[in-house]
Amino acid sequence: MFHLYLPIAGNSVNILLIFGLGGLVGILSGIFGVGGGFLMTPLLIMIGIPPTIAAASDSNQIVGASTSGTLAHYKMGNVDFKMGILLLIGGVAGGTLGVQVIKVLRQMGNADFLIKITYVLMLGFVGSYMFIESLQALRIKEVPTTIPQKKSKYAQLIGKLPWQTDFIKSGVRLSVLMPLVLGTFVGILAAIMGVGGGFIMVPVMVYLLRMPMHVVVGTSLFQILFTCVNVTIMQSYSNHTVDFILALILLLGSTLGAQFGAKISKKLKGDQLKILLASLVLVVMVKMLLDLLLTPHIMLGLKGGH
Amino acid sequence: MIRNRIWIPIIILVASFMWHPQPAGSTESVTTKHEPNLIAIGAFFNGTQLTVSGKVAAENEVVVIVKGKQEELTLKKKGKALGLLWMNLGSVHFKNVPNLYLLYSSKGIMELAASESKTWEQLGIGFESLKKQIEIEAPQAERNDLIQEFLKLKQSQKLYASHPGEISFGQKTDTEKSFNAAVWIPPQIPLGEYQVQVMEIHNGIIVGNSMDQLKVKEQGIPFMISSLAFNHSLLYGFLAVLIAVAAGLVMDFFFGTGKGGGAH
Repeated sequence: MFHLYLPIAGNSVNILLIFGLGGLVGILSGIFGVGGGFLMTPLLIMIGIPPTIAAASDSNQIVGASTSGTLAHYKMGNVDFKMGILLLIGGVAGGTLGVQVIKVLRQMGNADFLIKITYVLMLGFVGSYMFIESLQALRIKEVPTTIPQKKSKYAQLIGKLPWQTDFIKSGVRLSVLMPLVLGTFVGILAAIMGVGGGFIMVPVMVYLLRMPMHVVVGTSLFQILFTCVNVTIMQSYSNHTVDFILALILLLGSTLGAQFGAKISKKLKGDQLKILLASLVLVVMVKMLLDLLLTPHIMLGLKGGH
Repeated sequence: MIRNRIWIPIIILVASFMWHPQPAGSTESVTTKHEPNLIAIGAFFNGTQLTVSGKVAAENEVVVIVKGKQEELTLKKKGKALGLLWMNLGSVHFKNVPNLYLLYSSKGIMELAASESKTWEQLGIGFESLKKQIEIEAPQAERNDLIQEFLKLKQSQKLYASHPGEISFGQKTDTEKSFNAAVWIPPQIPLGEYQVQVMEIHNGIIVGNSMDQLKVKEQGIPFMISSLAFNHSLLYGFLAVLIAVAAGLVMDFFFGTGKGGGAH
């Protein structure tokens, strides 16, 4: 009785299991401002959902979770709309560009290889950097000394860019070009890797845009919301791969989870959040690396998925 | 030279008719029935049981095969890049593969398969015969491995299954006995039409054969959702987004107010 049939996926699933998965990913989404596609899609594939349908239905679910999470963070004053919209414009441009890049890569052959290696290296680098940096920050805070704010080369460089403007919520002054260009960059990567890109976007906001961690989480969710609305409609329209029943059960779990996640996020300090996210990024990296190194159980696979 | 080559298949064809162990005319129709004839997939469908039953001669064995339509399939092939990293390297195209293949047989058949493998092969039953029938565009050296992996994949998807010895016999008279096969139809079954084939086997020869149809279709909520998704896909996409946003708003309304309200 706890089973529901999924008409698009063509399989049945246990409601409680899917609800629980949704809840878990929703919590992560609310805490860290990531969509959680990296986690959800493989889990869905594991329980017998075809890869393309798992990925598309997951974006449908993320729409719900990020609506819920964005609202919760908005009420805490954690969403920088100006920054979010600029990143989004860049993201859409980058996504379109990324689709073309992947076509070229496919023609050259070895596309999968390049993508996976880039992914592992990037997650490894970003995760380790974030981990070490926030660990040091946590240690330094224990000793009550003020560190002189030196202007790094990077800060000097981005200070020279034209069209400087204030981002009030984030408390930074930057060139409009920065979020546009970085948004494009993340958009390209996300399109190539077939993921939402929250995992790359969050570190980009923290380290390259110098935004405070809590604002990063809220703004990232705001941005993810629009990306996934677009993906859901496009996938439904051109590939018929969104299973609404699956998305709905996931949604009920994840929208609830996102609310709790946002509350947990509020209780954590910026550096604690960073170190947790860094650990999560590293776990994903290790998982991907193991997938590459361990001999697969079956030497053939279905098309699609991450 | 060319003329000789044309003759070869004709000779083989004629010979095969002459040497066929059992002339086609002598197989009789087996009296069988299966229930249900139509599998309707509703909202709570989680696989179902198909009962195939009937009567055969007292000393004979029975094989039941539920088989789907032949299709073509392209799958990704995994391989090692740089001799170290496993990933998808190219794709393989499979032809002539049934989308479902469920095999049930009575115990005596297993003994036949074990002791007289040649006779067993001639019957054209089971995964071994499927292997011969499947066509792939791949070098001969890789063929066997690829087909083996293909069967593994289909079995992991529950769409191919072999249940030797799982047909039970009931009432037995001097001449007849009844058989019963409980065929498990997995929830992964694609919509469409299937053949339920029952074969009566005597000393490695098919003496009786019956073929029947089984239909699988959606009804109720799954049917409505599928029709919307395929016939009005843009509307479906917008609705999916709207409902997701609404779910987010409702959850925020019930669980999000109070604590976080308006504060910076």
